[in-house]
Amino acid sequence: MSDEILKVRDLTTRFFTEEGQVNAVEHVDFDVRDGEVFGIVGESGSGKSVTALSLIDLVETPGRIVEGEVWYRDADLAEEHRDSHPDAVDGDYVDVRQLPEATRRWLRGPAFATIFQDPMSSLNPSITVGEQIAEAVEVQRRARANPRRTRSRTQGYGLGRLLVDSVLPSQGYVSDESQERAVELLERVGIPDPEQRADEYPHEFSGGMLQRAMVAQALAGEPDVLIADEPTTALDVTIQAQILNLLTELQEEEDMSVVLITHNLGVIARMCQRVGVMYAGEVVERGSLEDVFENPVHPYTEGLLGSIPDVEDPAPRLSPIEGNVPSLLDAEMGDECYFADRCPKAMESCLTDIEEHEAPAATDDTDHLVRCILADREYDESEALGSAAKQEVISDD
Amino acid sequence: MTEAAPERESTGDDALVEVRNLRKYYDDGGGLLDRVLGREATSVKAVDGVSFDVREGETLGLVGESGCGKSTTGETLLRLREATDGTVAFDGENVFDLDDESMSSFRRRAQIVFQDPFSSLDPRMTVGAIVAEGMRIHGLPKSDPTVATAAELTVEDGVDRTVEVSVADDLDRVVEAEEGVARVPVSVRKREADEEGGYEATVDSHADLLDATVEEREADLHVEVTVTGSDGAIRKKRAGDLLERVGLSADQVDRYPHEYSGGQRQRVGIARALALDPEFIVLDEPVSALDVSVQAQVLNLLDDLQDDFGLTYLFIAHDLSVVRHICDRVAVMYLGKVAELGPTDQIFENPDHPYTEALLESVPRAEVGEQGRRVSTLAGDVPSPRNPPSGCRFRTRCPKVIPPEDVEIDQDAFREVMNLREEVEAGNLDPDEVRETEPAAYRKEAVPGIAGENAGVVDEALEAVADGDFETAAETLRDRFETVCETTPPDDAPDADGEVVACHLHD
Repeated sequence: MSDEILKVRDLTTRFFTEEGQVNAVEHVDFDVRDGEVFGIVGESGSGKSVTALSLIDLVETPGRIVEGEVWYRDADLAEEHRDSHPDAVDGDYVDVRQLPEATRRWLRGPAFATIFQDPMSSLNPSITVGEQIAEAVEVQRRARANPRRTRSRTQGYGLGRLLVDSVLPSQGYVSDESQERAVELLERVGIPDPEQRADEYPHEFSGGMLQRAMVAQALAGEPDVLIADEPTTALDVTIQAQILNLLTELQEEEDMSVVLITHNLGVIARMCQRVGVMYAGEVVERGSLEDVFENPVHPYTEGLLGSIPDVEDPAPRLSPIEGNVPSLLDAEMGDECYFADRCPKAMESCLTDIEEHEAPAATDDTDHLVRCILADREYDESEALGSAAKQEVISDD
Repeated sequence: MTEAAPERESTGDDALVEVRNLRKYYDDGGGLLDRVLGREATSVKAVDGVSFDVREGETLGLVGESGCGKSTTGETLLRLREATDGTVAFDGENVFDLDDESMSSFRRRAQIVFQDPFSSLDPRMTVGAIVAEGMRIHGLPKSDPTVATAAELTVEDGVDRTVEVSVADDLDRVVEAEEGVARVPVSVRKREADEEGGYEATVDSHADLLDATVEEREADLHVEVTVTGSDGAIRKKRAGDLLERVGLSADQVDRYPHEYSGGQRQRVGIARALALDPEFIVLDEPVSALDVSVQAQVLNLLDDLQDDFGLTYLFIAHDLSVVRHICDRVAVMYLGKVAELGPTDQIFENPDHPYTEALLESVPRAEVGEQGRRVSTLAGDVPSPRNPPSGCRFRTRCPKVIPPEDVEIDQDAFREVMNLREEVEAGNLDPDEVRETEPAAYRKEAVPGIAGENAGVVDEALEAVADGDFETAAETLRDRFETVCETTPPDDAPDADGEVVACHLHD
């Protein structure tokens, strides 16, 4: 059995807005191994969050996943669909994107769970925290009992149900068992007095406590892969440290894999074994933490690392990346390497030769992939173009 | 590192801003209904007695978790909010009782840059108007009567007469004065191929705002330089210059904020703060909303501006690595009070306050060695500023609470006892549960680390809890375990070096 729980291939998500087509995620490849934390790091607008949403098929219109495969390892599911969807099965893996909608929905919970950046807006302010978690538990419980007919409360809530509920309000959706399980989960994520806290509303929780509650909700389905999208960005450092400790602990004990998305390189360093760096919708560099942090090849990765002040060893001056994050509007994106106009090492072929940066190339180490001309050749300072020269090459084109 | 850590930069010891005992309470619950119901007004003590100096030319960092009163301190000391109590002296004068004229001068000399570059710029004004707004309000450009005006004359070939120049008195509105003299270059030449002959004069810089005319007198020429630009035009020119200074382009003065990215907007905010030639700028989380690569650009810019204009900064931030990078001294705030204040290197390398230690410990570093580092975190959240803990405010989370001298107990166990005491005092324990589990068994569960006499006292208290008598229980525990951390607030007044360590361990 191979040790990848998730293999993402060629994932491309675009938004078709009134201003034009936005290429949010372009041909993204990565693997997530059993029991590891895989980090995705990038600046805002680099496509990190859209990648996360694409994995669990939650991209909303006007966005659409236009191509790509998300292979998830599940022998039973593969067996079940081998005949009905032969294209979607490869050994023990199923391509989540080619499975029927109901199955995909069923997978959210036992296969994938997500926690988002802002816990306050992820929870319903008018329902108690305990009930919201219990609801997630209930959905999972029912889904397991009857995998084909999973329904959450809101789905299929028609006039009939409304009448029944108003006449018989005791006909609750959530069973007592799920309520109890919700309290257990709250205790599991380190919330003191879980029984009492379960009856409180989100506004009575602090930010850190709410994020813990979100984690509890994500654990409801005992997921194989936990997708954490900026889970600590809204929190203070001391609370961030608590949540990171909690995630590490849960990941080890529950044997989950985690996809951790953040812009904070420190969080990546603490949590992840392997990292992908995203820029303008592409994964520009990917490898182990050591590869990416100690031997970065892509000038963007180098620039990112040079931009952050070190708390232990302050450099007198930072070396930021010049310029701003590029527009992802299709019409405004050229054929050249997207980083070329900010890149201090850009050469003529970066601006003209499309092939060179199309596919990520391996450095001598096969697991360290870089989408840059410099992946397999040495940098020669004399070849680098100044900003004026860059303009010239672009306008010549 | 030793205590003799070298100073980052030599800063003058003269305090530009002296904050003493500053308090800002927000009243709450004082409405009519509350009064009818006889409820007492409680106030949120956002800033509760803060004292520090900002020295001329330095960058003082103000760090802490959200809700600890950093931004309120910054805004109150600029008198953007009225202080509840305390004084702020700016250049020796108390900001809170300035007359109108001095207040207006203070408003020019002290500026602020806000955190959110999206909500701090008026979307209906062009960036030129935004930057120039302060100048307009303060009636600038104004001519300074003490500034002399002069011209640098260039006489080209063909002019064979003596040339005299007179310069308008208000030239300094357009031209920056250097050493008390506003100087402008003027060239005089003979008109070419002109029937009437004659001469012409041009101003070589600021040509769009200045004009020069030549008058032929008997033996010599007289050139007169006048300011022709309107106040609006002069302000716009200056706004353009400022935009250029902060890394934008001067021809963008007519653009609107929505045309800019977050980093560029923050630069506009900085240009606005610079427009009145301030001495002191409060930077309220100026880079928190920015991406790391852009954040580094803005930090470098702030560094350069400080050198060029001799600015003094109060830098409010929650990101400790940014603070370490830019600040000369750092004040760490916790729940409305200063916990520790000292030179940056000392704070980061030899923190004395347990809260500073915990903060530093929590920061994830972007390096491979960070992988899998387990951090001993602070438990719980910051308590409510409505009802802050007595004594030392950090004591409810502090890993180093001081046990009473006559009680022998190890640190972890004491922390657990303190947690139990808090629960008892808040009446949070369930008497039935304590009764059912038996007080001794409950004690082993809640406070496993104690034995002997201490255990006896806790058991006794828990028995009282089992009977529902929380008061007796709390008193029993208090008699035995009361610590100096809860009875006495630590001393947080700056010492002779302006340093603070508000902790009993330090005494």
